[in-house]
Amino acid sequence: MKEKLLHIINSIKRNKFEEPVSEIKAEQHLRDDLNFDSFDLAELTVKIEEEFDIDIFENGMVNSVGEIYAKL
Amino acid sequence: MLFLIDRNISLSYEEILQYLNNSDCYTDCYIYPDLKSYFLNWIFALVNGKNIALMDSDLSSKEIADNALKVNQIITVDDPLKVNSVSELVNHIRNSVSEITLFTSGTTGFTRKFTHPLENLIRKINVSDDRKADVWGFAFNPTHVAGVQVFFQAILNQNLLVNVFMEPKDVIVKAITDYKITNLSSTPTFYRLLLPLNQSFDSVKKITIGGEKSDNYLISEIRKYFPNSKINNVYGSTETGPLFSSRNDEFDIQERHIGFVKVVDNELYIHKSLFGKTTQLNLIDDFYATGDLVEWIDEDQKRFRFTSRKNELINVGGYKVNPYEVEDELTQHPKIRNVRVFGKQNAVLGNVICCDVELLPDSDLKEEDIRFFLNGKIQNFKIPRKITFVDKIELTRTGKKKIV
Repeated sequence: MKEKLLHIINSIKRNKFEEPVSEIKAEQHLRDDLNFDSFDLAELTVKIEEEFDIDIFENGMVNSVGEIYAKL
Repeated sequence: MLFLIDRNISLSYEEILQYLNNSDCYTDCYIYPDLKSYFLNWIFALVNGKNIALMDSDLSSKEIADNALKVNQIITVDDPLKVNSVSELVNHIRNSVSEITLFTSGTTGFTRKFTHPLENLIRKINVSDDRKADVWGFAFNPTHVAGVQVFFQAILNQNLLVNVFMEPKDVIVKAITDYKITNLSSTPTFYRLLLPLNQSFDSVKKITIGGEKSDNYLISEIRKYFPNSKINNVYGSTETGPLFSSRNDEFDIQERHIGFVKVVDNELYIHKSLFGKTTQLNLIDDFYATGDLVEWIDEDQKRFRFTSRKNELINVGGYKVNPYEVEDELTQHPKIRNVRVFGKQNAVLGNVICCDVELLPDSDLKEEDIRFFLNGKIQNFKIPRKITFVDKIELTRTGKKKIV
């Protein structure tokens, strides 16, 4: 599951011409640490839903990698 | 007395006066480097009664060329007006004969141009002594009609604007706390991204929501964190300027608009006298069909609710995206045979742009190739965030793409 999430995050980074990250940590913030804006967050929800069939933002915002793990 | 705080940049009313009294030109269709320059430039045109077109600073060169826009035109003003005090400044702005041109996304591509006399844009602005101490969280695109409203509301009441547009949550929270922001005006998407919060904010006394369809759930969530706020829902557009406001998702037609607003086949129609000059709108008996579908809550009392859009513009975080414009760009790719661009509901942005791509035989493309291809051709918010490669785009019997 963690590998799949890393893959998704890196696909978004590649799409905006940023260097992929080698690992992700639970405490990382999506906005501050991974530099995701609202459009990237929307892309993240779509891709996670496609892979895991879970809408992580259904019940409010998710801010960190750890919060995504909790939802999955 | 400050007018603007934009991260590390500030602009006082005193500096505005100095700027006005030491300048003799402004820039039309200004590709502005920062908000301070944008506002100074616009205020100069307003005070001197000059017409100006306001446009997004992130338009790509292709979009500028496609729409034959003449950007960064410097216009010299002979004998510019001298302004001695802030109250004089406010009076000059309020009584300005400037015409303001705004751009919108439209059904035929990005540019429909609407030129408003100032009175159209300030008809809903309230000026009073008890608004003098208001501090605004500026959370709209400054060149669009909603941002224009906030600007006028703030400057005509001599308020401070604190820019929080597109800022991350922690910056917004800090701004509300540090500057004791009293008024917030933004799209439902802005509030969805801001909530939930760890604390409530007593300083905020007025919240306005507009630009997209809102809902009562969001309004009740906002109320939790801003317990002292009056919450207003507003409706307006680039075409019409501001028109309606309400406390929840119900709107009513004011007495003075009766006869100028009507509903035909559930669609809201607005009389031409309520919107800006344009030759590009199709009018039916002097009324413009907005494409906004409504339902009556009480027809006698003229109370209604918005239900959906008739046309297919996709609202992404308050921005309107015309799917055909995106399709037109994509189909120019040499390896793509056919595409279908559509919106999908999304908790973050309201909608997210998706596309299905059918490649030509023996072709290979990756998602990132398509993103690279679109980059710089269309604005960022129009770029599809979900790209699916399909064997065939399904067509209807009349040869049109199926809407899913």
